[in-house]
Amino acid sequence: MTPHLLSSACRRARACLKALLCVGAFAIALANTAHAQTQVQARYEVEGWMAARTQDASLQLNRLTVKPTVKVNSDTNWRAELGLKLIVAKDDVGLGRTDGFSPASKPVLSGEDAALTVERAVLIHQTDNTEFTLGKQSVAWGSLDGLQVVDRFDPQRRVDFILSDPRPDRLSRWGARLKLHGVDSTWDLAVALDPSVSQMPTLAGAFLPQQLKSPPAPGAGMPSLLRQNTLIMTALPLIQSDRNDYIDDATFGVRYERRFQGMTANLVAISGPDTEPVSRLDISPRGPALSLDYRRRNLIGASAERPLGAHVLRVEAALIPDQPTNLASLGAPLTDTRARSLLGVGVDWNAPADVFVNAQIMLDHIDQTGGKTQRAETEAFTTLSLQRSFNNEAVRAKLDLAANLTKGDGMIRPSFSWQVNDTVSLSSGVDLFVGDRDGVLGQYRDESRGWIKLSATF
Amino acid sequence: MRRTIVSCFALLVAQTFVLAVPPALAAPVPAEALKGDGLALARAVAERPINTARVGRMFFTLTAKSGQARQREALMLHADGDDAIRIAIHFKAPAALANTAFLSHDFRASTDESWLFLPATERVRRIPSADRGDYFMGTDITYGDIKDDFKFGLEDWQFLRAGERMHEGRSLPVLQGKARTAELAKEMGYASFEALIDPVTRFPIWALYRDAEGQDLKRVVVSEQKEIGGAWTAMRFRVEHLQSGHATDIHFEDMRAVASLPTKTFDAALLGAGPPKIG
Repeated sequence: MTPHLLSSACRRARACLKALLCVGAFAIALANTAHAQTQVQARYEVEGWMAARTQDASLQLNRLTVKPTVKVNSDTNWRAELGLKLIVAKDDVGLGRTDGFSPASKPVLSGEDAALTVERAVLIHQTDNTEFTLGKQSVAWGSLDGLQVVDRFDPQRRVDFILSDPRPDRLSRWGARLKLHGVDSTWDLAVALDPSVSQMPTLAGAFLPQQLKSPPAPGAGMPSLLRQNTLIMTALPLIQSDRNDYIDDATFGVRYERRFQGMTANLVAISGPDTEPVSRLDISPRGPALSLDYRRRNLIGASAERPLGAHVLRVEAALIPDQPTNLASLGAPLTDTRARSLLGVGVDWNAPADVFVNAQIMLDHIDQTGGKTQRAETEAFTTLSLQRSFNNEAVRAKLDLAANLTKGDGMIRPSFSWQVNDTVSLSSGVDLFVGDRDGVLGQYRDESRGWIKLSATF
Repeated sequence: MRRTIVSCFALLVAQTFVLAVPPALAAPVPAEALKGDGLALARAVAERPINTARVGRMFFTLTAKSGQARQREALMLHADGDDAIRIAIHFKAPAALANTAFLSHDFRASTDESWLFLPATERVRRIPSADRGDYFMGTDITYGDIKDDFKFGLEDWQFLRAGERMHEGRSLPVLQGKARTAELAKEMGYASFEALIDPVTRFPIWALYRDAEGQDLKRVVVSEQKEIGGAWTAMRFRVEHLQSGHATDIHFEDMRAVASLPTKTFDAALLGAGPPKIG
């Protein structure tokens, strides 16, 4: 390790440790407050996950994850929580890039095969009608599973593509959140003073998007404009825009929830840097490079949930009037802002024979006025999940399907899990990517895999 | 998973707390009810009043035919209002389930509503209602058991008084029931039952349920009752699934009756905030 890298790592570690010490000091103070009765709750999750490609049985994933969590509760209105995640991996999926993190959110320790991150470090003050959370946290809005319409506050970890459980794999950020509870209504205000964006796989990562991995083969079916652009992108070095402007790149959000008998409705507004990049040609004395920019965009949306007997219906809609996007271009990538609208519908169903069904569909439309965008004008995605438990819930069989209706590609995941005892569970499955290799899902056809996972929680 | 959690624990909660009987009723059933026919006896059970709000720690042991056992611990809150029965369950153990929370509003005049908070998803989510005969969360109790609260629906069964039987040194009235229709039997999951009624607490302390083929299906035995806050409560009971060999044992600790529970206790928006502090 060079002196520069060592120094950078030390600074990072120091910054994170300072924040952790603040939370830890408060937690200890809380625990020792005279007259205050405290309860410390520790929990540990350990997970080993291995996968081999169906194509050639080569090892794709070989990962150990350890997640310790400590919660300090007291009989005052304060409590503290700290959660860490240690990942050790030596495989083709990798740990992901870290240049999309702000300095405050970078892993405390990171190496080629291991990383230690702070997943959650918060102080919470709670009364009957308010809940104030300060620290590193995530904000889960929206009601659909994995399909993001209004659930766009948090960036995500894309290292595993969509194969994490649960989805999405949220990245927490430093900030504050205030919930105000009224009678049948809640205001939820959140700010992330942390410019971190979605984490992409490394260039060697198995789930690196195809257009960033290698030029497509001639005649591969990709539109010529996109192929040309892709060639340019892959020929230039990729650089992230700076992620250290905690104020200008802050994310703000507000959600208002109203609960009726038989229905819940939400209104959502978010303003912040898009968590996904647009690319821009950057000319500097060091030469040309492709810069990944995360421009501010605004979102307004609404969602509703309604139970109907053995069903629960969910609807979400969102409008992003200024969605940054790349335009289809023969030369250097061009960017613009366009109106983008999203609509999602989902249903849960307690079906006969004890089968639980979850089905969803999402439409994602972007305005093409003034020139075509690199992505399709309208994209449609659907998911279907079927699950059934056996042997008094000790064994669960599950089938997940995801499809990109625009391209006709998809993913099929049959799996089962066995709760061996109260601590240990064993699960296994197959992730099969099918369809058009130019599709969002079909591009990973060569990464289809069989996997096994052993988890322990204690 | 979500369906499981809902069912199992909701049932347990309901059953647990339904067994509480106000002081005024901690007296023997009127002699006319005990001497009357099956319907009179069933009505004496069905009209058993219940407390308005209760809180307690609930412990479950789920035992497979092989003998392997799984443990659960939860804080449960139960309130009987004019419009609905509200139940909140906050799991404490095992670690994999800790902080998972379930909430149900069982409305008397409209569709029930249920929510589940899973810490991993960080969201409170509405979940669909289950059928009466569905088993929940790996237990041997059905969702219908929750609603029945250790009572027998007067519209669901044809009752028969079948004399008395000795049980642990006491002679107890025997109540038998047969589902009024095949559809009801399918919906409830039971075609008939036979129960011994405790004349003091007015709930069935021993019951055997049979399926549509007349085969023994499930046995419920209450082994410990205690007067809490002036009301009798079943502190320990066992539900055995006689066809699968699986059994669910339930007992309560620190159970107490409270005058009322704050509305926020049963607010879905607060489900993820953890168990409420009850004064």
